[in-house]
Amino acid sequence: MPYYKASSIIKQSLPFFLFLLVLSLTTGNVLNTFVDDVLYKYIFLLVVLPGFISAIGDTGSVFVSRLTSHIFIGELDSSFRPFRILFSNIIGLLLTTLTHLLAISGIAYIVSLIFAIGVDLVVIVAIFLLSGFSSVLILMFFGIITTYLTYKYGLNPDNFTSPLMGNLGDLVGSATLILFALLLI
Amino acid sequence: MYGKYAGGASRVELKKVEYKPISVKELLVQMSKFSSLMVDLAYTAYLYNKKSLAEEVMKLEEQVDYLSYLLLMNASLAVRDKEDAEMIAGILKMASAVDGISNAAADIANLVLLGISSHDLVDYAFELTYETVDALEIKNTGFIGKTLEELSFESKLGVNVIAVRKGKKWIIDPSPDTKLEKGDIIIVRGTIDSVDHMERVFGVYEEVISEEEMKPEWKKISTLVEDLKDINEIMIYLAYSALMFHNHRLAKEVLELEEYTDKLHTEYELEVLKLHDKLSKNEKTILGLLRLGIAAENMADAAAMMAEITLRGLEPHPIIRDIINESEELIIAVRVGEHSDVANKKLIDTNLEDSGAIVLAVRRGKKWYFKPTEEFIFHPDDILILKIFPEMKTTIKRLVKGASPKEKAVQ
Repeated sequence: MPYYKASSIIKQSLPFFLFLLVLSLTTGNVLNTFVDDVLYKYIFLLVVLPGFISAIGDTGSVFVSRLTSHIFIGELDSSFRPFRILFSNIIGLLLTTLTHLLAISGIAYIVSLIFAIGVDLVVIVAIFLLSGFSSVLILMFFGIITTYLTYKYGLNPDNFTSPLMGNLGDLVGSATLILFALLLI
Repeated sequence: MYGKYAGGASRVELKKVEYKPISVKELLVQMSKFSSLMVDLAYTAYLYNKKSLAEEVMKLEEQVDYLSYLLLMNASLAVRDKEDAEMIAGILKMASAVDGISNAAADIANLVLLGISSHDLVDYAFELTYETVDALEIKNTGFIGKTLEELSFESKLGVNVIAVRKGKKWIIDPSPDTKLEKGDIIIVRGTIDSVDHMERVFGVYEEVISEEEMKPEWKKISTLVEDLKDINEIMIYLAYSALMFHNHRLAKEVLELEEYTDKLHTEYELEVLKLHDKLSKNEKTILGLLRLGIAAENMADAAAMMAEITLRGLEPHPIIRDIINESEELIIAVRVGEHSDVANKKLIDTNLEDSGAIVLAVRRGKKWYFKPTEEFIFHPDDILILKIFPEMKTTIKRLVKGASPKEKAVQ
């Protein structure tokens, strides 16, 4: 069956998109559950949430994209050795994430001042750093599995990796952000 | 020309190719190991008219072909941006050069399958009077189910098992615990006597008909064949080294040698055609000689293609380094300094051989000398192509270039 036929596209993509749908519904549920207690109360969280979760998802996509290149070429073997290369990718992306998170924290703080929500800058920075790093690390864990699958089955990164990392980023990002907000404020 | 399309002399089944997750690095390592084994086997098959060996070469060639498809697939999946694309271009070029070498080797082996035997002048040219290779099938129950370590062919019979084929699967440089099953093919290397002995043990020994005496009129052609083969070997070494060290000078030497090969090849063809009456009454033998020249030319082109990667300014990808690093020897090109310890001296009077260096070739202006004898005198400004052990690099460079004035002052 030619790959460009509508029936072929549906057959290949439908199961995966259904799975992604479940992921985004879960994300929606999480947000809905805490919308009154957390998000409306601390409106700065709601304002930066889209930027925050897409940054997390993008980092995951970049991570998988880099890993797949390494593994196809053979700089990393299929058990992700040597770990030196794996770790330098992780550290590099964590540092990039740090700058992102600091910028987001800054914006969130400004919003909190505008709406006169009395939360310390330190607390805001802590919330974003903790939730940001923990969700990036969780995403990297799934990223390694995704990379392995992409390599083993020769999957298309545009159809598979990026949507998956994006959706996972939404879920993990929102969940951790709300969790740390609840813990720290 | 591909062996498998040549008159049905071999019937290689083409394996269907579909994506498999094997990294580009691993595929390239396999391809280069296979192709260098093929060159060895092909020349031997042609020289000694060994059909079984020639058939193994054809099987290896099909394998290299198959791997090259997988490499293209995995390489295309790895590319994301322009940096990746530049890097993969070098790797793909290298892979197609390796493929080119294997095709040339297959062409030589195919001569045997077409019933073309070698001319005795080739035997003299190659001086393969010492080492040889052979392909042997495991049939004897005494060998079945035993490991190479248990059989210890090396200590008992003086031969090395350099490869084992199990059906479609090849093991190059097999480990001592490789177990042999019925129907496995082992590729062995050893002195002619020990390989003959091995053949007797396996019950496949055939007496080689005694060779004709070297005739004076063969001399020129014989020398040309020898030069062409030596140049091929040196070019491939140099091209690999040029890639590994991103060394423009080595790469340029490869291109110089490629031009030189073209010249020699033409000279060789003309000479064979001129003397064909005196060489052999059998036109197949003459055809074999001509085809041998074409194969040498094709190998030279493949090496040049590899050298071009460096000259195009493509940085060698780290995996290319990994692939080449597996060999322990190093090839360098050094210019003889005017006041160095080798200038105006005979090879035997220098310390080169004591330092473990082998002089593969010397270039003097446009002229090349291959595998110089002990009496060869080095001139200042000669370019020496040396095979050395990596740890001796600085010592040998200083020996050939001579100490710089500053260092002399210190001494």
